[in-house]
Formats: sequence, C-alpha cells, structure tokens
Amino acid sequence: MQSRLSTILCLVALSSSFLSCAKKAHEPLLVFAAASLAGPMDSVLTSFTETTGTPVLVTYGASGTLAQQIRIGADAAVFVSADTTWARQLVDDPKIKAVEWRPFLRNRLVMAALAGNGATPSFPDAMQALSLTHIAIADPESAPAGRYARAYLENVGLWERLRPRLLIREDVRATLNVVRLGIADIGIVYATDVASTPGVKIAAELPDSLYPPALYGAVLLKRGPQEKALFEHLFSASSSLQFRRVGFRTEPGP
Amino acid sequence: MTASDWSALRLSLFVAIGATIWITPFALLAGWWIGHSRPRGRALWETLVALPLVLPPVVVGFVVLFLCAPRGPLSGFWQWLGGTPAFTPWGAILACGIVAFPFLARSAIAAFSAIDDRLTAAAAGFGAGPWMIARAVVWPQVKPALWSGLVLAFGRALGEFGATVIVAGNIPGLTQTIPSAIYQRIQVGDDSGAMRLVVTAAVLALVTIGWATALVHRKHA
Repeated sequence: MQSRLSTILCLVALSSSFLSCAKKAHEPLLVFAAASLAGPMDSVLTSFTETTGTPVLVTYGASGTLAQQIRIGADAAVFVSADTTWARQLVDDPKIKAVEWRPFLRNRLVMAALAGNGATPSFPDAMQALSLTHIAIADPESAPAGRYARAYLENVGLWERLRPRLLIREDVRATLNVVRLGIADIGIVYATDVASTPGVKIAAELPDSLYPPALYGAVLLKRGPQEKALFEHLFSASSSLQFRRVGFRTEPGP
Repeated sequence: MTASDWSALRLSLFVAIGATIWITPFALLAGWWIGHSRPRGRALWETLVALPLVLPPVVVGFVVLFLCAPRGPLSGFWQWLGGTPAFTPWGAILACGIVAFPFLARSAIAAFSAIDDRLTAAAAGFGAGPWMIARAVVWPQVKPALWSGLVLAFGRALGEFGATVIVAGNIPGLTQTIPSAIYQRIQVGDDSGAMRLVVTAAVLALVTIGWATALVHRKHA
C-alpha cells in the first residue's frame, strides 16, 4: 500500500513537472549577458516582457564563457559582451550566423574596497599596493573586466610583481564578492558593479588611458520579429535610462 | 521562496526524475547481464559501470558536452532529433543520468547476483512458468535493493552539479537546478538567496535518504 502510494506520488510529481517544464522549455527568448549587466538588464528585460508579452530568460556570466557556450550550441537570441572582441568573434564565425552587432555601452574600471572602516588603500601608490595581501581580478582569459585589469596592471608595471597575490575569479561580480566578504583587500571591477553592490565602495578610479576602452557589444543571433524587437529594446530610451542610472554610458544611437 | 527558487526546485525535480527514468532500463539490463548472466570479463564490466562514481563529474560533463556539440561526432543524430541537448534541460537530464547510473546499476548487479537459483529451480519443478517465477520468486528477492538503488540514483541526480553545469549551463528558468542556483548565488554574494536553497536542498536530501533507508529496512520487516 505504502509503496503504491509513493509510486503514485512519483507519477504525479513527474507528470506535472514534465508538463510545466516541457511547455516552458522552448518559448522564451534567451539572453546571454555579461555579469556586470545583472541588475539594470533585469529591469530592461522585465519591461520588454511587460510591453510585448514575450517571456525572456537571462543568464549572466563572463562574456568569454557565454560566447563559448553559444559557440557550442546554446540557443541564445541576444548576447551582450563586456567587450567587442567576444562579440565580433561570434559575428565573424560563419557557423553562428549572427544577424548583426552594435556597440552598446561603456563602463569604467575602478578599485573597489570594503565600505566603512579603515584607511582606503590608495592603489596608484605602488608601494602600498605591494603591501596588500590579496587583489581580486576577474579571469583575464574569459572575462573582459579581467583583461582590462591585467592591461592596467601591466601598464603600471605591477603585473609580474602582483601576480602571486592575485585572486582570480570567474567573472566580475564574483570578483567584487570576494572583496565584499573581506577575502581580498581590493578588487579591480567596474564602477557599475560597485554602484549595484552594498557594502563596497570605490577606493580609486583608474585612469582610462591605462586600460583598453570597456566598450560593450550587443549581438543579435537569431532572425525573427520578436528577437529583433528585443534587440532594439536594449537601445531604447527607457532602457538607456536604466543602464545610465547605475553608471553606464550609452553609445549614441545609429 | 521566490519565483526563481521555485523554478530551481521544479527543474531539479524534473531533471532528477527524467535522469532516473532514462537510466532505469539500461541499469536493469546491465544488472541482469552482469549480475545474473555473469559474462566473461565480469570485473571489467563492473568497473565500467562504476566509472561515473569515481570520475570527477566535470569529466563526465566534458565528455557529454563533446558528444553534444552541434558539430561534434553525434551531430547528425542531434539534428535528426531536432537540436542538440547542450544548454537545455535535456542536456542536464543526460548528464545527471550518467552520473547517477552506477547507483542503480550497482544495486541491480548485487540484487540479481544474489538471486537464489535453488528457489527458481524449485518453482520450475512445481511447474511455474517464467512469468510466474519472475513475479513470485525473483521480484520479491530483488525488490528492496532495486527500490533503494532507484532512490539513491534519484538522490544523486538531484544533487548533481559539476556535469550539469558544464553540459546545460546555469540559465535561470531553463537549466538552473538547485545546486547550480546555489553556486551562482554564492558567486555574486546573494547570501540569503543561497541560504533558502541550501535549506531546500537539505530537506530534499533528508527525504530522499530517509526514503531509501525505509525501503531497505522493509526487507527485514
């Protein structure tokens, strides 16, 4: 009796979860977005779904990781990279058949530290930098923020010396999180990440002449009216406002 | 529980149930063949069956993703099916199933190899047909082990992370199960969100293990 009951419960759980998932699995548009966009991108996509009724699923991560996932078969409609390199690579890949890409947003790098107590480590002072135990950066191999951070450290001549103290995280939000947890003394992240994370502050701005411009690229990967509408929605005035609110600069429209 | 908590829970159950279902026939066949038919090179077959138990799940993930790639070795098959399972819930089901497979298969091997052939022979001597023997003689002997193997495989699939996140990604609402949601929330510092799912995972684990234990104990009741 008991085993029959559990079998029935299993079947009910099974059929209901199968039905609900199978139905949802294919309809929504999939957006792959750079980790630093989490926050404003959520609001922008929610407003898209509210006005058009088209459901959207979004996943955030290191741009390089997301680009690689798209290359090996992820069914994304739109990809927003935190640089133009990964965006262009997908566009230039003949097997991906991307529809178009556009420069999208600009961001700037900062040195983030725990908010509140203690003296702010002033990073441009190299001597002080060397006394810091851990410096968090995103993975230069897959996260544009990490590549920019590496370029900066190379330009100020600290890359080799700081290397043993680098705490390399998989994307920029994970980088900032180890700063927030006090595991790293400072992290090199985007100004927008600091603005959308409580408990951390900007310890120093990095001169933008010392790292490549953090220009984001948006790629439309699939043809179709809904996909196109979603892509255009990212560039709309109301979306631009959401992104500017946390400190992104928007590119002038086409 | 927020909407994304529920969707992670639903996907976890969907993936774990789906994985348990697709491996069951294979695990039972392997169990019967290795446990009861005792083929030549039995140790080798048993080792192969146990492999996903010992291999790091990322290795399973790597291999499955390689096989799932749209331009990989099985591309024709995926095209015929209507698309690659990579970065879909089906990919998660595939990967989780492989990781969970040894739990059911090993139970099945043990169960089928412990069948008392004298009982089977005696039943045949009394004139019982093969169906009758399977139902009345074999099934009661293997039932507890198969059930607990099934629940353990389900439980392993429920907790699977390493292979799933590589094959299916970590897409909220599509492929983000409870473990991958917890990972993502820890990464970005959503402590309370991670904690809610940690509690959910703990409850699920307790229920699953309790269930398996009860099934094993019923044998002695």
